Amino acid sequence: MKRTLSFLLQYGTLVLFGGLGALLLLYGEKEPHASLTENRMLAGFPELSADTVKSGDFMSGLEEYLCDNMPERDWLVEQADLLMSRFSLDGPADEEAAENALYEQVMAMAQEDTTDDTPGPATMEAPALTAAPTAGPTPASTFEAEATPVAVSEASPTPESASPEPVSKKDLSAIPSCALTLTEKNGRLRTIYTFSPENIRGMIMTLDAYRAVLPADGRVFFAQPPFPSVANNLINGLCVDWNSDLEATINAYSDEGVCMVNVLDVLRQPLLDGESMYFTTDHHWTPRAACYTANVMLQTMGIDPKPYDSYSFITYRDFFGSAANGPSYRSSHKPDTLEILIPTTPVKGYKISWDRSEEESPLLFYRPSYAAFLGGTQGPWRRFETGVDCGRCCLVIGDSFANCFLPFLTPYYETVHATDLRGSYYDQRHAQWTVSEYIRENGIDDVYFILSTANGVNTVNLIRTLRDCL
Amino acid sequence: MVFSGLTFLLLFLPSLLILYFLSRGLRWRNGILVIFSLIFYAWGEPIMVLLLIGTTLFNYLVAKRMAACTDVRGKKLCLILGVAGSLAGLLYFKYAGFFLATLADLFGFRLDFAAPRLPIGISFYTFQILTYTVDVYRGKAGVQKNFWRLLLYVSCFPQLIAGPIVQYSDVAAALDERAISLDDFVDGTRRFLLGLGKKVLLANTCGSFLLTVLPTGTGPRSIAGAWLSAFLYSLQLYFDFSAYSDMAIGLGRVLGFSYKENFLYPYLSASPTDFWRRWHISLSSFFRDYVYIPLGGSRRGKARRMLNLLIVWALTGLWHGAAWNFVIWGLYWFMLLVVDKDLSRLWERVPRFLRWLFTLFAAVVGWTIFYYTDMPGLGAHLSALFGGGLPWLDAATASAFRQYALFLPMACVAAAPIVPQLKRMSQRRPWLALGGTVFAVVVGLLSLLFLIRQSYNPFIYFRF
Repeated sequence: MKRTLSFLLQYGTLVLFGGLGALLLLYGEKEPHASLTENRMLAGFPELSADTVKSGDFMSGLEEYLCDNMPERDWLVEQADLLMSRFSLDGPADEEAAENALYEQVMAMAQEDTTDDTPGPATMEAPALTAAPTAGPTPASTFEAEATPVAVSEASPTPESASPEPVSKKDLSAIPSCALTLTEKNGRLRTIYTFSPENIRGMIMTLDAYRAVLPADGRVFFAQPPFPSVANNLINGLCVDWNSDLEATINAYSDEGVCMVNVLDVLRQPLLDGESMYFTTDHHWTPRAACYTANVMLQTMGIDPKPYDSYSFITYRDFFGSAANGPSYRSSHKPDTLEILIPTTPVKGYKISWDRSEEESPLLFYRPSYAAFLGGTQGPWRRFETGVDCGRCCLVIGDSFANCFLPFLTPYYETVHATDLRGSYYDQRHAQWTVSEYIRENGIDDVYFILSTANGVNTVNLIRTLRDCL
Repeated sequence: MVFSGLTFLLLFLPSLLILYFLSRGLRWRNGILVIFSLIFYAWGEPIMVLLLIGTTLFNYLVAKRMAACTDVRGKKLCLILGVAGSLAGLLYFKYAGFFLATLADLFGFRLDFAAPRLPIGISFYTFQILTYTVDVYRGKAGVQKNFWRLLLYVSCFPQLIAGPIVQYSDVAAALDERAISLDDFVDGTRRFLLGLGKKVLLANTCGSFLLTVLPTGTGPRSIAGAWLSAFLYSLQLYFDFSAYSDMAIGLGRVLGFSYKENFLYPYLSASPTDFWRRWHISLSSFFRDYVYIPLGGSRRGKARRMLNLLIVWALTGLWHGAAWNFVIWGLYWFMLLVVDKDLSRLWERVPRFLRWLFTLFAAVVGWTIFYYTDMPGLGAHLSALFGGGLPWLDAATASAFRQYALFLPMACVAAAPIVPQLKRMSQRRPWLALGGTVFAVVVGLLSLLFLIRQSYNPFIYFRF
């Protein structure tokens, strides 16, 4: 009896294997498609021909296809990772200790890199600023104004230039639905995200609400960078263009002083030119892409921002990010290059707790990790005193995409504040002040929303939370 | 194709088993097995499958001619022809580049010779076909009149590309007649699933751990790092290769073949001789039966025995790879075995724990030689094992150790004979056998989970 039961159990396992195989062959996604969590294109069914069989491409392609199209793959991978983590003694504190050890090691390397490749802080040029218009921030008096060409100006039309025809403000019932689309090689449009009128309306209400608590000359900026899996379609040549009409719609229907930058417009040409706008081993955009976006925002205030290439960086050429799943991934993938800015002024950073106590925490950490920017997201509040004497302050509200964006604001603001209002970083029950109180108490002039598509307009709860926290 | 690939697990194996067990009669089953075995081989080597078929055909014809010869001289000529013809392919594909490069270095001439790509499993199937020709010559086995059955012997996919090296006389009967019982299916499947787990969960994790401590192309950064990486490589090699043998033996049993054991917990050995009775047994047996004994073994005096051993171990080293480190590794074991045999009486007086510790130490150092094909890298690692001016511990090793801390003791336990012990106990307690099946199924499903997670899992022994 027990023998028969053993037979049935094992037979069942083999039947399960075979069933999975048949299911994948019959119903698996045959075309390559993007994975949001892994930041890569998942394999489609390989081409079957004499050449692909002879070269072995069909065989390796089939293995990839079976692996990539497994039902509930993301969940399964997550469970496997969870299981592996059970064999580790490391908790968060240990990871921090390990990072510190690594930090010690790479600082020595960074020092060499600085002397070899990049000018050190002492040799850095002052940022290029032009006199700001009355509505914009005052340029730092310590900086000399000089006319530096703006790297992104050609490739990146300002949001105003992309605005549709004027519509009557606040007629929010007339908002159309919008979409982010990819243009395939054959001219066919593929819709990646659609944004319903309700969701757009919610976002506009949030942006307007923030604008209302700012001073008269205050500005609210919003950028919604797509995930790299979307950009990969352009990078890999599967598509020839990408577009979104969301930004123009939001700009048309929101209050004066609110500006949503079309990140797709900003990044299109650099992407097509092969510039590194997204990491290949991480699900974030690169500091270069963040800088291009920041500069477009700054330009709308009449600032002539410093081009990305004129900053100094410490460069790591062995960066593996969030998609790097263990050492086996590392041995089979090429690492990314990570450029970490050397601030133009000695920026001092602080973490602010719920009880208003402050703890020093640097703006940037020099190590090959995306957490190099701000040391990663840490709630509830951050404050960076830039040493720039311009009398203007800003608040950056965002997700992790904001972390590598924020440093590019430091040359133009006296203080840059930051918060991430997502539930895992900000708990309203502990908040001793509302965001509007924080804005008032700290004299904030401008607010920047940097939310990736995963946390943007379609994340109804988060957008409502942004309003509720105000 | 590899056993630990989704193509094999989800498509190849289920299709084969359905067709194999639906067909009635040995002819059909043999035919299906030959076709699937050739597909299995051609999956990784579409063209080289012709070399496999050609080598088999050559030996089939030579053996037939040998059987037809009535005089000893004719038989001997056929044997020489068969052995030389079989080895010619191996020598060309595996060693031509190495020997020519060595000669060019020695005599200082420039050589434009691109070494051919090594066909997968050529070292294994060449030795297998050699056992057929030699066994027919010795009269140990009858000549196989059916070419397809001989092709099945050589190409049978469970043992085709990474062993065990199955001697013809061991499976000759099963080629002509075999029965498969429920016990064969249950035990074989269980062995396969446990082997799959050993490869995917243990060997691959050891490999990942090793890459963290010793990234490819680098040397150790501390003494602890040097020892940990050497130990991890030893574990990875064992799990990787013995897992393949487990899967091969398990699948063989499901299909009605009975293959001999290839590993018997070698890291529990108490002497170098004992180690080689437990590690890659089918290779040791091959060299003993087809090289050492024909050379005279230990029957022709001490000096000749030493020479015979030296030849065997130099060949054993070279069989593993066409590089000098493998030759050094073979000679390293030769020296240990000679000392072990000469001092055996003295050695037996040492407490078993110390003998075990020494043997483990010798094996770990040996695998370090095995790991490096570049001499400066090998020198640096050996020096690091014994100090080499490095710190005791570096941050990366400490961090990796903590990351895999609970895995390491688990892997050590898994290298001990737990399964045979449980199997013995299950004879008295049948529920234990059922528990073993449940465990094997869970291991199989976990392996599938980890295969989905990781796409990089090569078998190390393929390169031999």
